[in-house]
Amino acid sequence: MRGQILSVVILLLLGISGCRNTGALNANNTEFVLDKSKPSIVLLGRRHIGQNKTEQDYVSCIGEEITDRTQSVNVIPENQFINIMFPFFEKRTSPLNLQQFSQIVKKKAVKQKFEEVNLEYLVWIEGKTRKVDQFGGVSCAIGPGGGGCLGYTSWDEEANYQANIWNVKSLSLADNISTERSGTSYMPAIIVPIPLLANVKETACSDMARQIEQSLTF
Amino acid sequence: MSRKSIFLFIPFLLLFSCARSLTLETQTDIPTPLIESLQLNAAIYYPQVTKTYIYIENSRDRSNWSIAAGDSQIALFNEVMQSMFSSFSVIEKLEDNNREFDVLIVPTLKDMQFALPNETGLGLYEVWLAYELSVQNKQNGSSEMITITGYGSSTEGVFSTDSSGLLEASKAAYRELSAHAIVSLLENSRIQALPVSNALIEQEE
Repeated sequence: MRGQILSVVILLLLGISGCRNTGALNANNTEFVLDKSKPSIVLLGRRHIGQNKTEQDYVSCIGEEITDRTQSVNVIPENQFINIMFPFFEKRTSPLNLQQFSQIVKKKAVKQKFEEVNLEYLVWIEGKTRKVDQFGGVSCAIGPGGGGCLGYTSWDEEANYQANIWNVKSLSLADNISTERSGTSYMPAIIVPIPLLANVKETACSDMARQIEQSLTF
Repeated sequence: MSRKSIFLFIPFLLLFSCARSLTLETQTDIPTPLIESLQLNAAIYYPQVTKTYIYIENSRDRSNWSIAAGDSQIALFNEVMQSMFSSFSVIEKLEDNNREFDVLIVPTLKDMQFALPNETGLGLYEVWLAYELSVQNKQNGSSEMITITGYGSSTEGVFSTDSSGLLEASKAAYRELSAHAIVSLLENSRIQALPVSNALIEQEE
């Protein structure tokens, strides 16, 4: 009986600690509706270089933050934009500079689509959050009488991101901004692991969203 | 060992012998291309290697692998051709080339490679494809060979199987391949140099 109660307590605590991981970086599954009376922007992650690909959840996090901060602009979801613009914004066909971009914009179908969605700015996000160091360790075991974990671990993370904001109408660089964040996350475990996260990526997301919003003029 | 225990082992032996076998048919899933179709009368010819391609491997790590890619390749190139040219036909024989085509395209599969997460060491299923596209200008008889490639990967999940992982990776590879093919063909000087099809002008009139 004691073992069963312990198992239930562990499961509940695991559930609670699991909730600590949810935050701004969760994917937003709500369907995007374009308001044609507002200008639009799109945020795209750079993913053309091997393993150094900008995380999709980071890009969508910035989009959600901008939508929360200002209601006067449509933020077109990245995947939706890439699909409607196929084949010009795929990993290998994306324009790497304004000269290549202007060649794409010259195409009649592309120009029409940009006008249709009222696209004013295209924002390229480049960078990544990396785990740079990890210390300690946590061991978990499970038996007939219940289970649990014991130990302590911590890790350092660094987030480095840059954003290039392209003005679609004037085909020029509107702004070039960057953010750098670092922090240490801890996870003590006495029966249940309790992650105390530094939220490095989330902080870098908020900072980037704030800077992008300040750079946009309509 | 008794006869009864030998019979008990047989199902397990069969189960383990089939553990890494794989039968898969690749699929394509590409969005409608955002391009203006060229006013040209185009044809495509599928060589046998492209039309009926099946990747077969029977090694220690890849026991009884059979990956059929013929139908999906045809579906992919048909979609690319349909979006690129205002008129397009599939020809069954190269000798059938008696109609007034402006351009003939022959896609030949050169290589198709697969990798599993334990092989990549990156927790990824990977698919890589390479084709040679022969682009023939039927107005002046000139031709050119373009190499196009496509790479796709999918992340190994808790419930991933080799089959589901490679299927997703192959969809991504086909998508990249078709994007590469469209952009390459649109920028191709032999296609750009072609005047609007006379046959199509006559049809419009």
